[in-house]
Amino acid sequence: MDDRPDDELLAATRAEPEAFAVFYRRHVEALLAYFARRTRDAELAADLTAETFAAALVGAHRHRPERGPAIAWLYGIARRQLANAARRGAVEDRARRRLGMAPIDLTDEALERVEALATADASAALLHEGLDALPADQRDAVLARVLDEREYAEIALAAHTSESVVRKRVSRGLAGLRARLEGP
Amino acid sequence: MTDFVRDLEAELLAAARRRAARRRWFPRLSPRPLLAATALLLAVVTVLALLPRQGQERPAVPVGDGFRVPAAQNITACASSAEPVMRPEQTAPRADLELFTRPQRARDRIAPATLLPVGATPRGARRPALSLDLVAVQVTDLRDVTPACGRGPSRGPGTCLLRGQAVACFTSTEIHAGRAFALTGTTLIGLVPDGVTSVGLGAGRVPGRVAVRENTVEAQVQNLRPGDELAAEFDRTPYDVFVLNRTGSDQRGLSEVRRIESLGLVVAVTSVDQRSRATRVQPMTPEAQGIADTVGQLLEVQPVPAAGTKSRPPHPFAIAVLGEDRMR
Repeated sequence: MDDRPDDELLAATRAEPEAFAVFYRRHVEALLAYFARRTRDAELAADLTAETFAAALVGAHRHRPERGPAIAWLYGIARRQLANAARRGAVEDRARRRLGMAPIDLTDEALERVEALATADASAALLHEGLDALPADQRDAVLARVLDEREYAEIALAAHTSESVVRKRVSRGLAGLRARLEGP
Repeated sequence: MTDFVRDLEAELLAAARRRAARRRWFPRLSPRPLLAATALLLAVVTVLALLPRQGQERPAVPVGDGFRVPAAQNITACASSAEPVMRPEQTAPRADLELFTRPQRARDRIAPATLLPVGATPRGARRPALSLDLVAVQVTDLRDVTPACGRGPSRGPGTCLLRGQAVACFTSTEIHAGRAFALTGTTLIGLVPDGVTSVGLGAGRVPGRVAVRENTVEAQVQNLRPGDELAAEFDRTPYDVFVLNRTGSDQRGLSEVRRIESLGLVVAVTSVDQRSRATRVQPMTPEAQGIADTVGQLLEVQPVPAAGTKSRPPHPFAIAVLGEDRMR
């Protein structure tokens, strides 16, 4: 199992295509669930997931770790895809065409499996929605500390702030997430 | 059996491999001869550059975009005078630093916060950095402070950057030219224009790229000394996104948007409230409109509120996206 952090996987993608596959496997189910929860349409969710990862592959070399965790970058792409699809009434396929990717045939059986995945990972989707709702500084701090397991000092340096401020952001962010997950 | 996740992985992996293979089409040169040729070329160029030209001395500052990085000044305490440069004690509140060499005037104030674009600021206006350690103060009449606490000649409008007890002031021209950097100890501080997302610092002994936060740059540089040469290269975003607060009436917001537009800038505005649909401004490029819509989504101003939430999040008034031409 490849346990390199997301940032390193994205950075290695150009020279080592398998690195992107690891990144994909790590996040695909949660992203599918995220889209399925937002769209309530398995086919649309699959389409959006495919385009999001294609766009991530095209732009992997542009990801800069100092601007935030890779997962935040990936969900940034996802949100853009979702917004564009809502506006245009259709999912973009620009990145997939650029990569020369063949369309994936979605049978009823495949769609059922997508729906099952989305349902199974509903809590992850809820978590991502909770993260989305956090202020950007809290979200970045939580992702960097909890998901990427980076040291407070390292996060503070990257964010040009103090350790105590980062600790506060993580604490408040987690409290916000907890409140959202526990519901009213 | 068709498995979407597995099939998509196969497609992505194949695409990634194709991209990797395309990169390998570039000829691979053996590094040793390449290094030798580069070293030889550099040696020739260096010798030519060092040769004194007839009737012309070598310039003090090497040719190019580089500049000598200055040291930030320590904030000086001056004895009381008719026009105090600073309070006698060094613990003067930072807000007072805006005075510098004269009392504050009404026009020094940044526009009221009600309809200020909170996602970015118009050209010429700066807002303080969010960091507790680094504060930017806009000054309309920048003047150097002499050691005797006298007033130096006016340098025009500018911005001062404060970090602890150190201060460095730059004119707007210097900021736009990428020369607004100074050293305080082993920390390089600097100011950059709106729209710059990161700065490439070319000095050989400083970090390659530094992220920009609220128009400010702060980087640890162990080996850079005042007087060393430094060159900055800006990375810009193609668009500036303005988020206008909706605290006034729709009409006030609309006039603010039109004021931005009257500057000859490409403006796209997306309404984020049913009542403000009238503020949709033409012309807007589809791409700019797309960005504005996306920002609306990111701020959760358009989607239906999540189940269980009692109230909708506070709505900005509008989101405006200004195109590349405003950057020039």
